[in-house]
Amino acid sequence: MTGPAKRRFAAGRRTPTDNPHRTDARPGDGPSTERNQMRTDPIDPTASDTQKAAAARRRRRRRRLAAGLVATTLYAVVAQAHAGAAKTSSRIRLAHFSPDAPAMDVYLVGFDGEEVMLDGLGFGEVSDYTPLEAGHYTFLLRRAGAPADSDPWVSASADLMEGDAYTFAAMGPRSDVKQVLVTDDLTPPPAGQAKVRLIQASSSAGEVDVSDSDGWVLAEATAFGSTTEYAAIPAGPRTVEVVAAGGARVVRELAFDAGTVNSLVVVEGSGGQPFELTSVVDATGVDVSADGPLGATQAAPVGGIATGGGGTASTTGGRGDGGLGTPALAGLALAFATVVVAGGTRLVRTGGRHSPARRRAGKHFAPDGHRTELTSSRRSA
Amino acid sequence: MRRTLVDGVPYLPRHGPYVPRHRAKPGAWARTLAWLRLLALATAAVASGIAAGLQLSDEGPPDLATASSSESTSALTPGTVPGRSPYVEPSATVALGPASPIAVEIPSIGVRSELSLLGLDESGAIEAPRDFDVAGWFSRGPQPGQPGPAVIAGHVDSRDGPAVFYRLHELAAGDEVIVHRADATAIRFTVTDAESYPKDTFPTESVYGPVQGPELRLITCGGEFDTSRRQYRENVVVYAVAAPPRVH
Repeated sequence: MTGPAKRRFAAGRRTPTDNPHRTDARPGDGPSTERNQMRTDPIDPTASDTQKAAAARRRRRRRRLAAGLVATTLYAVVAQAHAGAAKTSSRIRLAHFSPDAPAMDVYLVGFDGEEVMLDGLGFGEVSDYTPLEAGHYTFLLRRAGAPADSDPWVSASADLMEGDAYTFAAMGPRSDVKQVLVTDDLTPPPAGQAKVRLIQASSSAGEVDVSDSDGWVLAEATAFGSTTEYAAIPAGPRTVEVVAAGGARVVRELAFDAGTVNSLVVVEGSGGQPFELTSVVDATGVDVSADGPLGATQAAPVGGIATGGGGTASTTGGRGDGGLGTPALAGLALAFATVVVAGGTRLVRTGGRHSPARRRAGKHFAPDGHRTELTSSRRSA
Repeated sequence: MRRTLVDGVPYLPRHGPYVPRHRAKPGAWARTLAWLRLLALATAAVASGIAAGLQLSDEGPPDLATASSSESTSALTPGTVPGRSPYVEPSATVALGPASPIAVEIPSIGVRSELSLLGLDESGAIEAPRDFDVAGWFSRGPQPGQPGPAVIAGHVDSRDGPAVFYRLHELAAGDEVIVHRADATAIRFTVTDAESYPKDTFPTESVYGPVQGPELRLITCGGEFDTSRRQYRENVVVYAVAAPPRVH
């Protein structure tokens, strides 16, 4: 070795590249300063194996962290989507509006095959809503008491959607029965009002106009088998008049409670009456507009109820289902942990060239590549 | 301090388990029910007597001409209402009648409570029950057993420990809720769903919106406790229906 090789290096020059006799040094070698970091992170053909390995480890860690965050976010989104609303299955009710047909048994053909849904639905009767899972169903009407394998009088299929309510009505003469499936809108009416619509189930009445004495028009030229849209009218007693195309008139006194959804039905009359008007309450809700502190604008109570004093809230803040729900929180933690930690990623760097431990020991490399003397007052960030 | 997990959330019990006030002696609940019935009927008699004395109209009892309900079908009876019927807001007349609810019982979580009457507070929300050990029925809404959602609310805890609806969040589909009425009848409801909602996004339509048959909503608090506002952030709502869903 020549003289320079034995020379002691002056302070600040202890880098491999400063040693002209090192043959394995590369331009990218040296302390991993910010400048060098940028050069070694992308795949750099001039980087050494250790540099490449370190860069590869950093990339893997970042990918795992990113994947863990993605998994967590996806889980949170899915869990939150399910956390909100109450589950409502579809609902359907049956109506018998055929004047010369006898009482009927209603059969339902669904996922589990055929089964009896209702016994003895008579003329003019509307059943209660039956909740069913969303799906494709077939409804069969057989004469009450007829054997289950006999030919049905009416057979109709329908696709029922989640959360929707339906009325399936059979109307008209027995020999020429008309099957109608209508969707019922059971959303609440405005404060102090009732929703009313018309089902025209009388073939002899033809087109009918329905209005009330205060001038509300509930139906205009509604033909047999048709259903009108819901109208919101003030709650209370109403004098409702039905006028048929041929001039026949029927007047009835009805009453509608606030917060209710109602269906008026024009059915075939009996005993000389050309047709008859009746009403069915589809649904009832809460309406406090008559005597609420917010007056006539308040249909339902505002918000929730303050029913807790906090005496059993844990020190971590919650009890039972908080936010997403405890099972969802556990799932979040599991999703994150599985992807990140189990993948071998260290979330906290415990060693390495620029670890906090090395910095504390005074082995700190300033950005310009020279080692600086550290006093106790200079600590790396 | 022993730390236990309740539903996966660390729970520091500061007091013993909640002992419902009516569990103490055999027969005590039945005696309580009898006393409540007597009280409710007496109050109803006094109230209707006063109302009759003040009534200016000479018409008969109110007759709501909506479809009458039978067991499973609503029969359309043409021409049931000849002439004009006086229309009265239903809740105003039946809040203290013979069919008014006096007590609620939930066997699966050991709840037995009389029912106080709840109204609306000045902000338009249902007021909280005054007594932490007593649940309340929202008397401006439908009665349990009448069509529509009847609301019964109770505190989950007081500042010191558990309260009447402390275990409400344990209810699941299929559990039974019994509401006792002043006329010595009881209605059985079957739980269909239990949800927890942030109070900021309370689903008013799901809870108070129109439903066909008699239904029940049991409401208490849950979720995180906001120490700055001294209230819980969420409401736990248990949905129940009077007739279990049926396809014969």
